[in-house]
Amino acid sequence: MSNDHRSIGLSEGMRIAIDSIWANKLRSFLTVLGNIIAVTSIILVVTIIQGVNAEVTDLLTGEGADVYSIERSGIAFSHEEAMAMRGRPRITRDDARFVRQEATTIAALSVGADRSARVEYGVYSVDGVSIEGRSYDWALFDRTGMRAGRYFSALEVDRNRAVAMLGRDVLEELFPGLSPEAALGRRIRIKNLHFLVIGVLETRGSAFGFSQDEVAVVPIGIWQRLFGYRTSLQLRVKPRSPDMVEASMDEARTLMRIRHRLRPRDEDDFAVTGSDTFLDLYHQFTAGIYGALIGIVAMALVVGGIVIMNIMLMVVTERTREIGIRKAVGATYQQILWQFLVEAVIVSLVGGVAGITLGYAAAAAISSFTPLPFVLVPWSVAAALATVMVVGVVFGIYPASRAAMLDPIAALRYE
Amino acid sequence: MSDAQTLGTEGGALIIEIRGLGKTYDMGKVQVEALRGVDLEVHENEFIAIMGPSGSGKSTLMNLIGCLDTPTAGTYSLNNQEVSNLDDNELAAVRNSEIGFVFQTFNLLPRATALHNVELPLIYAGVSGRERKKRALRALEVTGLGDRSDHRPNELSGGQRQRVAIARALVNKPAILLADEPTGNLDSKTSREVMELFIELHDKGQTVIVVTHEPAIASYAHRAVHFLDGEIVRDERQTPRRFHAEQVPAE
Repeated sequence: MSNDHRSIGLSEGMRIAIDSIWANKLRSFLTVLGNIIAVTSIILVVTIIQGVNAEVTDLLTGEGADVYSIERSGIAFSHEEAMAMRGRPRITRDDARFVRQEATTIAALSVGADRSARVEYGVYSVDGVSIEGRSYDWALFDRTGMRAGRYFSALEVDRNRAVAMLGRDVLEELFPGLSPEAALGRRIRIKNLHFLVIGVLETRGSAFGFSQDEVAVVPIGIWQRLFGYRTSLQLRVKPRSPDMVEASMDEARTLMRIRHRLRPRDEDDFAVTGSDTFLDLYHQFTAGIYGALIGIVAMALVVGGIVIMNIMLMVVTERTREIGIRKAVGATYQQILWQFLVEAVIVSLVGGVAGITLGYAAAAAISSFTPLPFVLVPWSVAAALATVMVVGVVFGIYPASRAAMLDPIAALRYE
Repeated sequence: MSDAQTLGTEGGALIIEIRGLGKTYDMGKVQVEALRGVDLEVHENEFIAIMGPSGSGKSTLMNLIGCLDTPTAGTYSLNNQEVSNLDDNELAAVRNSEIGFVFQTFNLLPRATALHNVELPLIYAGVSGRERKKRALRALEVTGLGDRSDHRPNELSGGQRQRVAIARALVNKPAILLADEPTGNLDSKTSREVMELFIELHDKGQTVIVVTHEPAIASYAHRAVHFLDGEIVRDERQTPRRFHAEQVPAE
């Protein structure tokens, strides 16, 4: 008979648990409040972080995960580091030409610099447009493509022609009501210099609520004429193949050291960073958030578990007579133990399911009010359910063993 | 259970054999001797009343016979199985298959239906599904409550509740039906009906032991065992009273 006490405890336990939860709705709600809070926070935070992850990964690898950059300054972790980086020589178009010509691993290299400025057309003007100076290779990196018109040509870049490709926001504000095609061939003004509109960029969308379409792309030479030659340039490099990223970054670094005439013992006076660098940094950051989450959730679960244990002890006392009856008709220690353990786990699971529902509802609400996407993370549901089951077992075992150990004679006499 | 040929005689198989049974409660400094060397034999299809004032040891004996407790002295053999030295789980198994309890306060699960209450011993016996329901329904029909199987205890009268309890006691075909003051919470008319049910079950071959302090209830039995101060003072056969309208037990 003892070999099937588990299944007996399971079906009877489930029946009793559901009956009991239903009969004491408010008490059941308070019992599982801790679990609800814990699971809601698991689901909410995981969903938000996964949403941000998708956004960030998309942003950082927008030009392809294999693209890396060469800049004067890398990521500074202190003020001193940042100050030291400012003393480095700036990166010039000659540096770019040298690396491009000497390298064997590079498929494309784009030179770039950004500065924000006002753009005007007739009586219309837009402030704070990101003016992006780019070399001809930029077209090879651009993944969103053109909505209308064309990219600049190699000739236009070499000859420093005043041509511009506009982002959607700029187009809409400068030419209200005009189609992208109609904007082509018109002349806009940036810092009193006239630019011919040759293309309209495909919509890039927004990242973290900031529009990426308030841009105007112009040849790098004319950009330098607008904003000066003292700005250090950023080189974006695409290796010949994705598995050459490491080798290509090494080669680019060596070439930059030669170009800057560094001796073997000198440190780099530039930084080569791949998209991995930022992703790693970002993942460290989210790992920190996850760590904090685990702490909060653990506390909520311990509190929730203690509440469940207390309520279960109360339930055992309330049902002393019932336990006596069950023992009188032949329930064994193990059968009673299982019955109450199952009840504790089910109560705990009910809280978990409520928490999952609430967590996803909250996450959906947040994503509808913010630019964050709503990402359903299956493992967070599994983790939440597993956790509340463990809580049910851990905090249910003591009340259950108290019930199982009751003396049937005393229990039957209990009023 | 065999047929009722041996009704009321000692010709049936020996169901209970108790020798020198003693129970001493250790209350710290004081030792309470609830039972002092009791000898008792019960044969198949006997109908016995165990009588005595409160504190006489009859409840202690009932707990021991019902395998709810273990003796501190003597031996107790139930259906040829020595049960005085079994552990808790083995006692639970014996209670499940050999004993059918009927209590003064019915002791039904308040939120469960009559059917589920009767199913309870079968659940712990590992009988599952349709077989369990079928047997529980049959037991309810035997006690005349076949049409009340989906009622909860608070929807039933006292007599009906006790019938549910009797159905529960019978459902696993126990060796003995052990009733502790089964009519203590019932009015005289209902008491008579319940006792009639006991007689009916006894006539079908069931061994019945009723613990009571009411002579009127005891008079239904074929044998009365009187207790006083933890000992049997009288053990006598008697001609069972058959119920007639004018013989309603006084309450």
